[in-house]
Amino acid sequence: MNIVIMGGGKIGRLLCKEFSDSEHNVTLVDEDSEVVEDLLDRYDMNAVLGNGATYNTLMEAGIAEADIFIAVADRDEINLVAAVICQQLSDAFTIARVRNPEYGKHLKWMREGFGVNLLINPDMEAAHYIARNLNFPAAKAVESFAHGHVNIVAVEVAASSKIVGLSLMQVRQKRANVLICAIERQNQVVIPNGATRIEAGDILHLTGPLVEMNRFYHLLGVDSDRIDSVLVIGGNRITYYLISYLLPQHFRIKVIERDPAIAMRLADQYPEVTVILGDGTDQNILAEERRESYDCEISLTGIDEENIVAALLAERAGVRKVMTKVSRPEMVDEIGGLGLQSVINPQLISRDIILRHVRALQNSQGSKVEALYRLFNKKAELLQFCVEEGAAICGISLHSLALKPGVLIAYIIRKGSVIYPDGSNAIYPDDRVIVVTTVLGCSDIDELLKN
Amino acid sequence: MNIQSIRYRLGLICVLEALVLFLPFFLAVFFREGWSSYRAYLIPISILLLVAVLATRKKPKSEAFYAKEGFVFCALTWFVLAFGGAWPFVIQGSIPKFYDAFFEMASGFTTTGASILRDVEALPQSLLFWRSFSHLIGGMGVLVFAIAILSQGDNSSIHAIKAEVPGPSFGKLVSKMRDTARWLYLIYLAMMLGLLLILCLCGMSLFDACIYAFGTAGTGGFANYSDSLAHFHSPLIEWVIAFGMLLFGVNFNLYFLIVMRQGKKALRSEELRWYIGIVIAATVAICFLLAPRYTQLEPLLRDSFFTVATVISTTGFGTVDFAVWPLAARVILLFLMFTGACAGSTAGGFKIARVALLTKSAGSEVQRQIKPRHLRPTYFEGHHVTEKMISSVAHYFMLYTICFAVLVFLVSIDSPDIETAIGAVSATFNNIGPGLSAVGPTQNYADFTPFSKLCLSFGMIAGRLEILPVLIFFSPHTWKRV
Repeated sequence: MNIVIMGGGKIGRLLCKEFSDSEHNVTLVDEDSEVVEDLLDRYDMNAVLGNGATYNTLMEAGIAEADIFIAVADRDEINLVAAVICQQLSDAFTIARVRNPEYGKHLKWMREGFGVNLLINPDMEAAHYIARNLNFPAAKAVESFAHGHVNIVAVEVAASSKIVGLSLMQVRQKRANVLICAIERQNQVVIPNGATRIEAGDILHLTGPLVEMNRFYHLLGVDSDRIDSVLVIGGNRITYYLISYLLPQHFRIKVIERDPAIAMRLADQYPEVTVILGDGTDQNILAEERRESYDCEISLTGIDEENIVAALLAERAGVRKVMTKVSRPEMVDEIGGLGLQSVINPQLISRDIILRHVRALQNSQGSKVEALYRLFNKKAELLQFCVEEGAAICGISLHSLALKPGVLIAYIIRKGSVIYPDGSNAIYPDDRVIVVTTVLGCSDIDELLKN
Repeated sequence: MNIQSIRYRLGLICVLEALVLFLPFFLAVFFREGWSSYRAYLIPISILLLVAVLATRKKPKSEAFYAKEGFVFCALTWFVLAFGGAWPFVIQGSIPKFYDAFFEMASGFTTTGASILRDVEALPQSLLFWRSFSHLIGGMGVLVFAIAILSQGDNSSIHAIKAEVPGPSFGKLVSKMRDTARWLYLIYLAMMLGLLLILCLCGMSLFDACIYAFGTAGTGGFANYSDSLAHFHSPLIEWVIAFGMLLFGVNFNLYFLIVMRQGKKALRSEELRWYIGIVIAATVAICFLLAPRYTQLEPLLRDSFFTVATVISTTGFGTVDFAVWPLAARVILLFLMFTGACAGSTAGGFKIARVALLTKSAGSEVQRQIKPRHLRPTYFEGHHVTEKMISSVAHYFMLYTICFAVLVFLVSIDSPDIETAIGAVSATFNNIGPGLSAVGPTQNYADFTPFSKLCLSFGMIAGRLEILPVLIFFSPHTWKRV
């Protein structure tokens, strides 16, 4: 596909790398000649020097033939103007980054008014990601699908767990009715069946209703107590969005912010939140605010080093869940080795969201795949199919379906409600079926059947 | 320095050369040239394949491939090519000394066209073909060819390509490196085939047409007759080849624009205008200087135009012996040797784009001295000329001059006169072929000592790669670990 990316900033770079590595034709538009030269040296793509919010530059970048236009320049206004121009000049799927919370209030209206297919706000997505992780305290990671209806949670099996050595069938008999979609074992992905046995050190990817999940955590022996108090260090945009997500869920929130003006504004806007004026990396202040009594600490200051130090100290102080924001995407892998539980990078989160849309577009060209997610370093795929009238798979109960090995039907969405299927369920036309599989590159649900 | 990765890639280049060597081998079989010829190809092919197997047996541990690796790999590629391609001549026995054969093949791949052979016609057909075929490969670039046919599109290849494609800047035609390379080769081969067809229609045999089409396309200049193009005594062929040479001296990006139906944009190119302007001016000037020697207008015009075309496009086919022309005409030719043709073409030399940039910047400097407060920005190809561009071209000019001076000194050790030394270096360093005086169009390079021949061979490769890759390869700093 032809992809035009406007803006060679942090997200722009990540996207250039991602798309130029695959078969896409990438054209970057940026005003800074140094950025352009640097990226041209690194990645196999083309570039146009100039303001992407002008007709000439966009035409030169080949917007007329573009399939996807991604506006990730510094300024929201430039991105929106570029998106509007793009809408006039081509049929490209348009993605624009908009960061200003004031614009963010009317996302839907803006999407329609400006004709942007996807508006992305990295700070909001990061806050969303954090909030989601707080709901699954035991999880190593949480992926959310089908507009947040379904979550797939990764948990590690400790050697002391009661279920080590049991087959999935036996686990189910213990009345933990969760669906284990995939098992990561020694860097391999296993799509399990009833006879698969669980080993210590496995990372299970599971899904199911919240109640059942909690029952399963109990079996696993992991600490699944609900997190209900959160200490946030730093009061920036992510903090604002995070608070707006957490308040309705009755979390007790304390924010430590150094800047009096920002702290005052936060306190003004969210009277329910305790706002402390002070340096969040100062150990005295943290001790005074009794950090060790919080379930979770999240460092969101603008300085990576401060965040990392704060997180390391929090883990030592025994805070159950510690999350750290890092603003340099290339640092995330390196920092993982320091022993931090959970590292968040808004750019990477946004990149993944954009990637998913691009892949879904790519895959749904002439096929029936509605959404596609790559899991576990591209070793497995999660596909969402819309089942059509006449598909061979319809009407047969799942236990008598002859599926290829490495295929698992995770759940079915029928008329807006989620069904976690067992062997007796069957698929009907107009169902949306979510499948986890190691058979890569499927484009039709019937391809999953054993001939 | 990621030596493993360079080794691995060089292995692939060896495979490429071995495959290409099959062509003259098949031709030798076709012409029934006998066992001595077959052996001359089969031995190098098997050695190249063996080296390739050894070099590619282990995959490189690290993928790191940056600008430094790109330069070194590019320089090594060209040395390896000339080295490997020289053996058929030595084994077959037509060029017994290896340094002579190396000179011949360096001259072939760099599309210089300078020869050490006293009697070209004594070579077997297949070797004549191989010599000229190397022009075709070298013209558009070996690495460009490799990228075009290898499917892996890794981001690191950009450094190697940048080192190989001549010109002050490298602009991709399309987003993907591999597609760009394919487009370039497609246009290049299509133009070559067109020329081949026209030459056949003009009455050349297919074999001759191949030799001259390859030589023109790569702007090389190897011929299969001692008197080069004059052999045919055909004004028509001379006109065709003259225009052909000029066309291959044009930036290939412009042809891509024409293919993309943006011909108007191509015609607006400032470099193209400079190029045409220089060709017309030089032709007219030489016509005036030669007028007393001719009685008819057509031969005068044809000889002047052909010689200007052959020199400015750095090809080096000969129809007349310009070594006996008046001094002023020879000086004009010497000037054309240095300008060369457009950047991004198959020609060598300093490149018109750089000449134009330097001239413009010198002009604006003069004006700045007269009126220091008058701001007059300089434009080239519709873009503002930045200080960075000027300084990079000016530094290249310095480097070019220094290399030229060093080579002239080294060659002067055994040259009969200064004109020969300067002529030989400018003809090889700019990838033209025939020089002045003792290395003029009717002469050859056989009389130089082995030392001078090696220096000139290096000069040819350095000139083709625009100095930097070769310089970086030989710089001790490159090979230090930290």
